[in-house]
Amino acid sequence: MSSRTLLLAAVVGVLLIGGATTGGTHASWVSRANLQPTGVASATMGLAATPSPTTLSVERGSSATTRVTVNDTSSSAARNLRQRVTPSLTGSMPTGITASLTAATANGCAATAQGAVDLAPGGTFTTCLTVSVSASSAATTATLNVTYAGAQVRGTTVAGWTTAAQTVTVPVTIVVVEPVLACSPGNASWQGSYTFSWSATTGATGYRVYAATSQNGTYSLVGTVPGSQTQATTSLDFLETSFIRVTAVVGGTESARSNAIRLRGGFFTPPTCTEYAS
Amino acid sequence: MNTMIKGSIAGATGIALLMGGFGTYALWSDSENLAANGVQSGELDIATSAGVYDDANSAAANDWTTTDKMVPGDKVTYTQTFTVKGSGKNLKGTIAYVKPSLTDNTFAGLTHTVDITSSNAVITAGSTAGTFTFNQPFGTATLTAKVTYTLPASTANQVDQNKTATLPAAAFTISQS
Repeated sequence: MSSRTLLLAAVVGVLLIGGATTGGTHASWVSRANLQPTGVASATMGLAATPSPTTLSVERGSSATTRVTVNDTSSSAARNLRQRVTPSLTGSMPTGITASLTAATANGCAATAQGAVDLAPGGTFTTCLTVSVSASSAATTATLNVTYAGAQVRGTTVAGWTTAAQTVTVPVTIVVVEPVLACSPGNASWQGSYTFSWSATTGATGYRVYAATSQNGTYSLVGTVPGSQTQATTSLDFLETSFIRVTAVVGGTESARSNAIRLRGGFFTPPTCTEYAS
Repeated sequence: MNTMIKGSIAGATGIALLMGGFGTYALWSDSENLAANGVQSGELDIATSAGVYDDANSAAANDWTTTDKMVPGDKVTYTQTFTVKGSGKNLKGTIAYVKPSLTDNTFAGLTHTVDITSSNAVITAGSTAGTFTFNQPFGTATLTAKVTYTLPASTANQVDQNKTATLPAAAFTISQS
């Protein structure tokens, strides 16, 4: 066998062996890439209602209002959240007392009833809560209760989350306004009498007259007049000095005492009167 | 010159010629060149880039950010594309992945789906879940992974407020077979 033949056989043999070896390990290409981690988070939906003032004092025959500001406290990043807030009066009022909810204007209250309002996160609106007390009401206190309920709305459809109702409670005190005492009409006489008067208090069933020897001294009840009367006449001795204050009584409630007037008996002259602011 | 000497010279010359021809042994020969030639290798690769979020209920594209918060009725998608390359006369292979599951999930009602699609007819869904196969080179193609999160509109009261969920990373492997 020639050397060329031997060389050719050797080369073929190497190729065959090499091929067999490659088939046994089966190396192959591989490449990798990752789907990145992702995630989501959900929002919160809430609201808060704050009255100002937080209490009301109302005279009989009049009304008083507190402005309730409602704030949407939902997550600011809740791009698709809209909350429909619906206010409603709850509880009952004593006889002669009514409450109403109306929309608020920049400086006052509208005549229209407050309806539902759709708020975006951070949105706000204001409601007027008004209590009215009739002149004949015998109640001395009342409590206003307003509930604000929130519900998620998408477009015009209410669906999804709801907010626990927020209740605003405003205590109401029915006050009896004290009269304002005046030296008029006077009608002072040489006999020492003097007639003084005071402003009328709505619903008054009577007035009480108190006297003392000094402006801030101890006052004693010296007389009563019916609620329809707003003046009284007193007599003073020679150079006698008397400080007078008057209260109004509505039902069983007595007002604070009025300002004072000083009556002074004259020396062979009619009595004189001096008004004080307090 | 003497004839014997001439004869001797001729004879010697003849002998020398004969002896020389017998020792060099000249043969026919010929030659040609093997033409220049070479080979190239193909390619098998998968690469990706950052994905994007989208509010699926909004007409605007890619308008959801990682800080946005879901509310009932929201559907949020995350889309990430993979560029795959496969060349080589005898190339065949598989793309394998494992769909991830939610981790750190505090939601009660959040649903999610993970859909993988191929842009190339050569790369087709394999018979085994979580695979694509190709039986020939395809050049360059795109795989699209789309994750969809849904918070049902029926989620009521205060359920699933202030919750989070995470889908971990998932490897996509392309390998020659």
